[in-house]
Amino acid sequence: MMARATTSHAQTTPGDPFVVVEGLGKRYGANWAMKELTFDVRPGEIFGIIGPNGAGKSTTIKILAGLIAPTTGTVTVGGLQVEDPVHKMRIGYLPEESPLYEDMTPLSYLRFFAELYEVPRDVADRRIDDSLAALKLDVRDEKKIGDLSKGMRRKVAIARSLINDPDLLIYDEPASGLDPVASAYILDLVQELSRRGKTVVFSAHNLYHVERICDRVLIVRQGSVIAQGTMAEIRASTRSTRYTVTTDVPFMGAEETARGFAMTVTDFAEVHGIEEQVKDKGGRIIDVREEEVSLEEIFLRHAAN
Amino acid sequence: MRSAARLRRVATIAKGELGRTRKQLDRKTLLGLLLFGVLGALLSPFVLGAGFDFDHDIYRAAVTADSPLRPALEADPVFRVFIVDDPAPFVDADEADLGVDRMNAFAKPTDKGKASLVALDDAVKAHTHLIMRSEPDQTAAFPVRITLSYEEQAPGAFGGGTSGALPEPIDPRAGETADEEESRLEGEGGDGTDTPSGDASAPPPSGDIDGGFSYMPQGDEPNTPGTLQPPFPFRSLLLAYAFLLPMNFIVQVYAGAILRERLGRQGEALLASPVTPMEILIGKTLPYLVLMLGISAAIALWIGAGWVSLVAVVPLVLVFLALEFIAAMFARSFRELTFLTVFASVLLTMYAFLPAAFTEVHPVALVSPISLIVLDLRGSEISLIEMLYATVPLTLVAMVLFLLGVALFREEDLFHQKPVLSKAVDAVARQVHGLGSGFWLAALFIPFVLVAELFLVAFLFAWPVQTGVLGTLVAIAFVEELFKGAPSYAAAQRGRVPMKRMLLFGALVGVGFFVAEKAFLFASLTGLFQVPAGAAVFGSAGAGALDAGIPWLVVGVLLLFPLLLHVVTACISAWGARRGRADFVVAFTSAVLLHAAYNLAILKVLGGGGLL
Repeated sequence: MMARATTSHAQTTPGDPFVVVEGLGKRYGANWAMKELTFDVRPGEIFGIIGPNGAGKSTTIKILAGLIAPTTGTVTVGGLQVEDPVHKMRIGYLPEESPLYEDMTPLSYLRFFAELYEVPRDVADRRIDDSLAALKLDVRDEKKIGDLSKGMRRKVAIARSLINDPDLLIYDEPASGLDPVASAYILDLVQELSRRGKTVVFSAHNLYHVERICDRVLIVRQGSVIAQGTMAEIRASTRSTRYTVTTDVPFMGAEETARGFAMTVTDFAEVHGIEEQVKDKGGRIIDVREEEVSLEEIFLRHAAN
Repeated sequence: MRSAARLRRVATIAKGELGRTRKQLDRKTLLGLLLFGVLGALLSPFVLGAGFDFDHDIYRAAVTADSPLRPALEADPVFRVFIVDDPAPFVDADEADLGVDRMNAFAKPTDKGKASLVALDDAVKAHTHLIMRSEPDQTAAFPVRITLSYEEQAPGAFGGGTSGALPEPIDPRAGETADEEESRLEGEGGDGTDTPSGDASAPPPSGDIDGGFSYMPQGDEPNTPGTLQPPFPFRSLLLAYAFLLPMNFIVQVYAGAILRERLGRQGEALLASPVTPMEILIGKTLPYLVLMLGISAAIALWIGAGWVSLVAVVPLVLVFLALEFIAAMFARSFRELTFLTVFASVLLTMYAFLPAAFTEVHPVALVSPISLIVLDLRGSEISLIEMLYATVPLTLVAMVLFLLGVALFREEDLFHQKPVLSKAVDAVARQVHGLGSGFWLAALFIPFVLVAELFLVAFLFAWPVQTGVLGTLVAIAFVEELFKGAPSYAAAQRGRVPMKRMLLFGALVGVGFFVAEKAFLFASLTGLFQVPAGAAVFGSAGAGALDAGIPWLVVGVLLLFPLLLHVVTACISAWGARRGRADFVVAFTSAVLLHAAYNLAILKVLGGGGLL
């Protein structure tokens, strides 16, 4: 079994956000990759960042991992600035592409990083065993990493991100390029880690993955926040719940259907407007059907904008 | 506690790097390299013991047994001698290049035939000289004796020697012929007992490894003028190259490993770990540094060099690694890396070997640590000052290069394709943290300036005096302004800075440059500035005044001028940098011209006008 996650290093009080990002901006030359990005992540939460290519997702992820210094704004993790050297001891980072040292075996590679994180050998070996078992990776020292499949390498990289038993996992496209079975394993693992108290921030292109496992989502476009919150909050804020109203008399904008006259609206207030209209004509509302829009549709709608 | 953790992390990275490099080199390559090394080690003592001799049996000589020239021909290995009764038919039949009978020497009218006659002439002269030397009455054999003395060139006794404004040489005898070897008529039968140190008639130092090339007469042996050759420590240089040869291979592997990790992005996980860029750099460099020093120690043992040679190798190893590290940090592909590493290798080899050819002839040779190795191999005494002079500047250059390189050890520079110039600017810009960094950056660049200027001195000192001095004045101004302009340009690239603040930054660059430059009074310590090119470099900086016995107060007032110059020209460059790239080019050129004009004026004021 995997070692129980602890948050002994965390310097936040219960209820406080674990990750706080305020006014984050990053400029490359004359171009801003992102501007005024503000969000927070609660302890034990799975937080997804989505957005089209070039939206600033990877830059945000890298700033959180302490790899890139922001131009403006601040980022604190567990009360510590990301520039603090201790920060890197408490995070597990998985880049979008995870090239590994191909001439090492998975075991020697993971032990190498365990030494860098100053994890005692016996503890490291136990964690390696747990991680590889959870990821269903049965290769330890028999093969070099260069001889492993892409999915297996990804699993080794994930095992590396867990070697220091981090409080915060920062994953950039964790299931990218993997087959559905391997993706499912990884998503299950992320959920399992969250259940054990780990905070997870990850970016993804596959919106189904985000919708499936994320507690909250941040949608970014051209370096700015479009929407953030739980899926329900996002739907509400982006008017992403559709109401199809069917009446027995025609009204302005309605289409005739088999059951009567119907129209789809995104604001519930409009339903009341329709009700008023048909009452005046001596009719009534037969049916109001509520339909939730997928994250993908919300995303596409924003991307199109 | 924290230091111990750092050391552990460095050791882990070093161990990982070593393991990976070992695995990347296949066994056959390693075996081949090992065999190559063993073969070289086995053959070299024979080569060095016997010297290079490529001139065996070039000409076929048909000689009669009673010919008086026969012994001369037989003594010269270029001839393959056949004893015949009549040589003419052999020459006619093209079975011999040269025919020699009792009375005549003749050859076919071909190029080779003519060359064989010239070789015969040389052989006869050499044989005659040998006979004369074996004469019991040497006074009769050599009625006039000239003792030739090769001395280290005294300050002021430089090449050309035509200017009346030159300082007097230390040794009054040296003034007789300025650029020729000092010569002195001893009279008949002189025994040379009063010859100065380094006298050619005195036995060479016990460790004189270059004696076999007979550029100096051995012991008390007389020589004819035709047999004299200028001093050139060929064998010592050849042996010194043994140190550099394996380094060339090792640094390629080192640079390749750094670039591979950059292009493959394997280093990203390392950057996200608690390891600092400096720890990564040290960890990755350490195995190669230890390997290079270990090989150098083995070579030192093998060629019989002492600890001085090993000390001299350290800055070369460091600067070699630093240059390759910078090349690997700047390169965007392996093709670009090849270009940069070859460039670095050629530059370093030139810097190391060009001045070393003048070891024991001129103090300028000591700008290269190879000169220390040559001196060590020749058994000469080396002072601490000489040692510091030859090793400190290069060591500092290596340190600054590493510092600049490590500034690029971040995600944005490591894994993204940027032009070389842009990365260079980035490396400097990363060191800019407020106004004060202008001062420190300029000071940090002084070792580069010093090395570049010493290189120029070494390169230009053998030129005709006028061209050399004028070229030096402009080149030095260019080098100094380049390193003063760079911090301002980099600072301007970091973000928009108000003009007043930029000018203040420039002024601090000028002050920092001035202060650090004065801290490097190596030139004064070694008397190097008295070389004409050196005077142009360091004299204008005011360093020469100290050696001239001028009171400190006056020196202090005199130092205000170079301070003013550095501040003004640095401000000009800062002004241009703030306004944009095109304005920077114009401002920089103006600063160079102003600096060169200042150098020229100071040289004239200090009485060095005769040099021009």
